[in-house]
Amino acid sequence: MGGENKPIPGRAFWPFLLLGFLVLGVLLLSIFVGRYPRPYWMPVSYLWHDALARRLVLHLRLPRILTALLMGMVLAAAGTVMQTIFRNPLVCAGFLGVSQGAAFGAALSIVLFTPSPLIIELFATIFALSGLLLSYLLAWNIRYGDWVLRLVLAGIMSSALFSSGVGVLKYMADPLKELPDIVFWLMGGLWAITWRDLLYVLPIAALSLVLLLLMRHRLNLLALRDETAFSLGVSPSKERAAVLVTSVVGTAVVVSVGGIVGWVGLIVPHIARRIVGADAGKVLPASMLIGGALTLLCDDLARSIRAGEIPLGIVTSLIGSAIFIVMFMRNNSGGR
Amino acid sequence: MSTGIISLSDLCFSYNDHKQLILRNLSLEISEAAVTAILGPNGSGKTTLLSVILGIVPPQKGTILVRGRDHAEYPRSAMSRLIGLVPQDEIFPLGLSVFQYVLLGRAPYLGLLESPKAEDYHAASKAMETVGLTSFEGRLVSSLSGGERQLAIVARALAQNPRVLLMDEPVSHLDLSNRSRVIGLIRELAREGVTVVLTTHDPNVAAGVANDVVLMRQGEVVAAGAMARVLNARNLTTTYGVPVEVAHVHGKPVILAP
Repeated sequence: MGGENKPIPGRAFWPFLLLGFLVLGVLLLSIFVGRYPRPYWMPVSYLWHDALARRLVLHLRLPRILTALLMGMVLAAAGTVMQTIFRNPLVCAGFLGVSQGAAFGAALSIVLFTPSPLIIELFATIFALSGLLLSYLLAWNIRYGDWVLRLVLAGIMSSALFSSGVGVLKYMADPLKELPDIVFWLMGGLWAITWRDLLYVLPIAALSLVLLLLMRHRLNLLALRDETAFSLGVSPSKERAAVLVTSVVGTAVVVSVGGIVGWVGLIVPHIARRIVGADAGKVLPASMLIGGALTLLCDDLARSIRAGEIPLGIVTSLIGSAIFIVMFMRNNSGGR
Repeated sequence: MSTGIISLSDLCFSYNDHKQLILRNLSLEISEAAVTAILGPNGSGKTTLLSVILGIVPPQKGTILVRGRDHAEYPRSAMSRLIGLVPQDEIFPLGLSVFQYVLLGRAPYLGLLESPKAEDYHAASKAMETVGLTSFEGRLVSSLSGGERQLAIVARALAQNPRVLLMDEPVSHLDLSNRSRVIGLIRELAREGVTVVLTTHDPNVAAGVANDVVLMRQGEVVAAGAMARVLNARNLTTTYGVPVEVAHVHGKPVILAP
């Protein structure tokens, strides 16, 4: 029978091993990339001979590197979940009002209080979750289309609402003190990350990654028609809500410390599909690895190209859009 | 009818709390290892009846017994191993190959956190072979023609290895060749002991494949029983509201409508 020797479960082993090495390589590279002691590269021996280099790596680079890795993994995982469940290759974690909610929360805290990272993170998280809640409430009450369409529409409404709120806050903000803070936060960046920030993000982000990994084989089923999914033993509404909330809560937390970092959640699942095929059970872990490596590389560029910091969101947008254009110019099918 | 694998008694169902009943006091016995065609005009409640049997929408009134036990008593996993569904059309996940799609039919046999094992791959391959799609394994499911898609949906349901297969209008969009392929497959499944319940608005499909026929109109059963007995001009005229004649060709009824 033809099928017995074709779709081998172990076939995905090699791509994952290579992706694992890629992440490890980028992680090691990132430790030595930067502006000290000279632009772009720090010789490895400095770790033994130079106390300042050691402190720099331990207290500045390492927490930042690990946060970038975690952020990329969460954004890419959430993007994979959304694209699979909404059967739409052009959605990502910013969907469902999460990014705009976080942006509104951060901007509000900058305008209302003397900006401190903790308050900004707290407000960003609360309003990111409010964005999700509002999307859900709207989706329940919209009397048009099926569940997926209602949630998509509700996400657009919720995002638009918070986006206009951000506009109002930018208009009201002090143009010399508050406005630059808001604009810089909206562009995304990890320049101020400390171990404390990482510890704030780590438990929830890691938990969301683990839960999504455990549920990865259900993702394809959740993309099916409700009746079919039900006939296969799935509770479509409950399970979709579970994976969406898990991915969005993870996103809210990483966005709260890193600001809006676009394109990772959109582009990475496409790259992963090219490498491991379209099975969401494989795309999800591959996306996590690629997302982590890509965001980390972008952050390395953001902090080492110029003496001043380039916002991470700008670098990911630039690289993400370039990859997207190249991928779709080469193959219009959008996936294997 | 013979032994009932599924018994429906006094079922009432409405999507908006009794304002408009889609199924009215419906009682029915579905015979085991036979093909039962639920036949009726568009909007007569056929698809809703399948959804109620599947359990995705609970009836407001009445009972559903599956093998003598109340439908609600079965755990979800047991029910999904027992009853499979071939919907009228399907939404296919992004970029899945035909084989990956058919493999989804093994979900009832996998735990929440479990990935498919060798036996699941084997069952999916066997299901693809049964419907004659083995050479399409690597193709994108979205690139298949209408008939091939229908066969892929049937293969996905067969990988589930159900004892009862609910099929919603399984041949209505198919050309003659694919239609006879699917009808042949339905007969073969019944011979192998699978109970097939299919809906159709075309009496000739019911005449061609069914052992038993249930005629429905506006949520009610007009007549139910053995195909040759139920498919007569009087019942069909009542069901469809137009004069219908029944001729016989090679011993089988052929339905002629104006």
